[in-house]
Amino acid sequence: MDTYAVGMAAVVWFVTFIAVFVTGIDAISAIRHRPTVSQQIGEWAYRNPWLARGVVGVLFTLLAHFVLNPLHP
Amino acid sequence: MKRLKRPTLAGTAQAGHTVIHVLVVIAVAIAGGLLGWLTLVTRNPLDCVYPGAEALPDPPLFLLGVVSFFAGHILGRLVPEERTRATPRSRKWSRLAMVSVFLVASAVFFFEAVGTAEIAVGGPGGAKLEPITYYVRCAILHDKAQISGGLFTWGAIAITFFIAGHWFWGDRPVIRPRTT
Repeated sequence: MDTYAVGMAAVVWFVTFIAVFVTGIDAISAIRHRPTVSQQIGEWAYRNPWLARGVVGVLFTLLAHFVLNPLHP
Repeated sequence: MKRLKRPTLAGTAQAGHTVIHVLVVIAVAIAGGLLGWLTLVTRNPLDCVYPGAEALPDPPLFLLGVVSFFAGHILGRLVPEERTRATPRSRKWSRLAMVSVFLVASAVFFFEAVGTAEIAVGGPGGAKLEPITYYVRCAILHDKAQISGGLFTWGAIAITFFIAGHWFWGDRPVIRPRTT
């Protein structure tokens, strides 16, 4: 039995659930005038600029690895 | 007669931020739900081979990430958020979120280790797990060849790097809390 489509759809929906959960907390915090996820991470980045640059470096390295790599696939 | 409060720039910026936060939740739910459904109903890729579809490498996708990163930072400068005080309960949830992030990251790295080791899942000659890179690149190929012509790939990269620019480029101005 080929389970590729079901498995991939489950992964997509699981990642979507996490994203909706986090953005939902962000929205509720904004409505209730509490510090949002965005603010908390933004302040962490402001206090730890080199760590934040490191995270951004990792993100761009991953993007380059995924979309600039000539190997198949 | 009750006097109406005059709208202020800070108040308008804060309201704009709240609207954006709510719209993001709706957009993520719709996009993720639709993508999962399209993955279910489209034909499966066979070993990620699509004849004639030279989809990768794709330098414009990297350029899109760079542009989105700057756009996220610029939005933070143009529409500053009001700084609010973190409550003890909020700090507790913040720590719990960080622990969750590390737990998920550990699970991801464990999967990557198994995938890199090329361990067969179904015994000799059976299916084996691949490194995460394989699945990501296969998903990009599948999206370009069969799902949306690359629209979801562009959207995912744009949103990810927009958020990264908004969160991690931390010299944006903030609005001081209202004293009333």
